[in-house]
Amino acid sequence: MIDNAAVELSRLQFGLTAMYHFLFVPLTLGLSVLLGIMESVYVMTGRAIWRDMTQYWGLLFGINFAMGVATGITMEFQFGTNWAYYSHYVGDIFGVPLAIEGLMAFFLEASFIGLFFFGWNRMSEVGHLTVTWLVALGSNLSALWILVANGWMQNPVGAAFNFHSMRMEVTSFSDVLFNPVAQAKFVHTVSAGYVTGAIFVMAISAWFLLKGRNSEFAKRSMTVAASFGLASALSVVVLGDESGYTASQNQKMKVAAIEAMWETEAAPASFTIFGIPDLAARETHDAVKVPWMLGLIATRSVNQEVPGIKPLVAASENRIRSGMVAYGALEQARAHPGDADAKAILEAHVKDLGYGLLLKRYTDRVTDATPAQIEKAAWDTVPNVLPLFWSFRFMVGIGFFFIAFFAGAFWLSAKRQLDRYRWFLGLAVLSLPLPWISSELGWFVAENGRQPWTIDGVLPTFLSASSITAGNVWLSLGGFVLFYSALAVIELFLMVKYIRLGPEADAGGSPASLAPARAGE
Amino acid sequence: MPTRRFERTRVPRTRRFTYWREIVGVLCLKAVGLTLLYLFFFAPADRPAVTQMSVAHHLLTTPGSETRDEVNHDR
Repeated sequence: MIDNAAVELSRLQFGLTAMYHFLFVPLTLGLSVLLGIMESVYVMTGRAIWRDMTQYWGLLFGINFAMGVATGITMEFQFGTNWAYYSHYVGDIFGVPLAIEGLMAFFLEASFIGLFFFGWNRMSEVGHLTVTWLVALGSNLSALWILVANGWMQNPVGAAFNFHSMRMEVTSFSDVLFNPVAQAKFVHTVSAGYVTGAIFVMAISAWFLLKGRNSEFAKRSMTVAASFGLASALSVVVLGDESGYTASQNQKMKVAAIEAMWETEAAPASFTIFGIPDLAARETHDAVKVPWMLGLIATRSVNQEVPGIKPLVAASENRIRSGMVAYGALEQARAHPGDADAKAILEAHVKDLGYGLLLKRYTDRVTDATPAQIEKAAWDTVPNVLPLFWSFRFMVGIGFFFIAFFAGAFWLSAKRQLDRYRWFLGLAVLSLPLPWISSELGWFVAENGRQPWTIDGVLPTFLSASSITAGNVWLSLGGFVLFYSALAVIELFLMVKYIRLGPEADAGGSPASLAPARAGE
Repeated sequence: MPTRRFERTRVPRTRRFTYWREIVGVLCLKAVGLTLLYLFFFAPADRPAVTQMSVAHHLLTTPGSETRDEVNHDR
């Protein structure tokens, strides 16, 4: 029998680990590119202040990297222990991008980080600049492979079920790699990381200006961050729209749940800006709607409908019935591997096998499920609407705030008035947590919106978890919380310490105040 | 493009040492912490062994017998 407590605790543990790991990832992505930009300017102009900027922001990058590195490895631990059925069922596909990420991208990044820090006095300027860009490339390639894996969970293409091995197997790796969902998620996530890096530089530089210290250093840092941040913030919204569009093509229930859209509206559908979704009553109270907007975003047309939750549940019921046929044929094919009829039926219905498996929550005899059980299982395909609805809106709201904020910063930078308005500097400092909040909300929307599936339409979450006890998961969860909380405290301590020390802090380079940029300059 | 070397640093060694001592300290703490987490909760002994038959038992009412197609999938 399935232990629901163990499943939910395993989900909580995985979610907490992933969210903790993702505190570090976006800053690594964004700062690594900013370091490349700053050092490029240094190599082109030879002005020492740009090298100081690269070294100081590199120093903070080093703390973030040291704190973040390997915190994601515990997710791999959990795949084997808490998610053993998942690992067997889809490991052939899911494991490949993860392995490539570890072998190629992470080692590229980790190797060149050493050269970045220790190569300043040992390499040519162009050689060191190349190293810095390779660190950025490695970070971004890491993100690519992770999002290829995650994109496959959202839209499982390039794979087929093998009833002999009871697992999904790769049929086309290029389909897995060029999965439109993965590609859209990659560019959206990476842009969000760039915004995080830009806000980080803006906020700390603004703090220096408010304190009346390191003003030239801070203003130049803000200038770079303002232009890079504006381009990135615009990209996040545009690419987020692309991500939403791919979701509307492949994960219609997720989109309907995010919009708390219970019925299909006449095209083009309106967008609910405010509302209080009620899953029990299956309606949204006090909804404030903007006409046409959802239809244009989700379908990019004025004549296509966006299906609502209730019609999608009815469609799920049909798929569950088809899945019951697949389930029966699978049992028959495994009992009699030579049974050609069973194999043909399985092949015809295998795309709905996952829907049939949803019934396992209510009955062991899936093929004999009652209409009431089918209806319950069909409603299980609806994710938790209320938190999805509001998480999405907060994320988008923060995204639009970033555009306005960076546009203002860019304008002030062009006018050379970055230090003129103290309220703007204060706003920059206060904005520091926002990119992390929006990133975590984005992941919450992506992953919670995929429920009840681990692999969308293929494998339900409750069947993915191992047959372990809730007590075991409680223990390991406790261990995680203790250890990761200690790490978070140390991270904050080190970051605050080196931010307060300012550009005078040094990890091995040479500040401008002590030496000219190039010998003989 | 010039390929001159950066000139040597003049920063006191103690300041650099503090930063790297803290970074190395963090990395050592993580190595120990992650190893302990692994040994206590995620070692092979804690990991359920999953085969095609156990998956079949988990998902199906009548799991059938162990079957093989042309490739050995239970590597």
